[in-house]
Amino acid sequence: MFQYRELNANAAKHRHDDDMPLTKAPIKRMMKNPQPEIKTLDDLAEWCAMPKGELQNHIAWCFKSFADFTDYVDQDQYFSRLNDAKYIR
Amino acid sequence: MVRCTGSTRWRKHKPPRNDTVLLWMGTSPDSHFKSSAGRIPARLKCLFVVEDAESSVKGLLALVQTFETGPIRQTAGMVIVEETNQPPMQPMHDGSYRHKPLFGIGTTYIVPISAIQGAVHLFPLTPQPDSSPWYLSNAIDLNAFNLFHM
Repeated sequence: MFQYRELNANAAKHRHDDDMPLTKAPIKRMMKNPQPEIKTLDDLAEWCAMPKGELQNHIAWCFKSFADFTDYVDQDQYFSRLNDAKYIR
Repeated sequence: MVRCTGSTRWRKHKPPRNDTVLLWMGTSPDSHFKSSAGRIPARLKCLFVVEDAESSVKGLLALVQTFETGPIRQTAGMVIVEETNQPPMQPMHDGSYRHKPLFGIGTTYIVPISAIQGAVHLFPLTPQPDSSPWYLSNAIDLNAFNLFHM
């Protein structure tokens, strides 16, 4: 059986036994060690070894699918703005 | 913590490191990822931030390649995952790539890093270093790892 969920539940239970908080705060996700040489979509596409247009399309669809920013796919103006956006890797 | 160095060396002297992760899209398991309870095993290909200053949109994103998952092996209770050779995305007739990318098994796409549930331990079925497929460890089970590889 796939047991990640049970492991998490058991770990939470043990924390409770130790008088630690039962629930943890959501994990704060962040990026570390950004590379200064990546600043544009061209730079990032080269690093990813992927055509620039394909990467731009993936970003637009990510915004639409996961963040409800549909304009990046549906409107040319928004899609083009991904060309001029700032990129940090 | 997960790491993604692309083709560059990790810590100058070590081989490149592109970690494997489990993605959780907050949806019920579909037919492809039922064996991993809806979690999607994937390899990181790039972690990056995009900032569209004009509309104040900022995204912390991950380019990932998903694995193909097999059925649960009853004896080990673990899932077997495999990398698939996907054909590269083809441009449209006008040369642009503006169409919906595939979000299925063995495909490459971008997710927000909040979709990364955590790192996942894959260990190979055979001792060869570049072996594929792998077992997707369903627990931190050093006994099982030692049984196979020590």
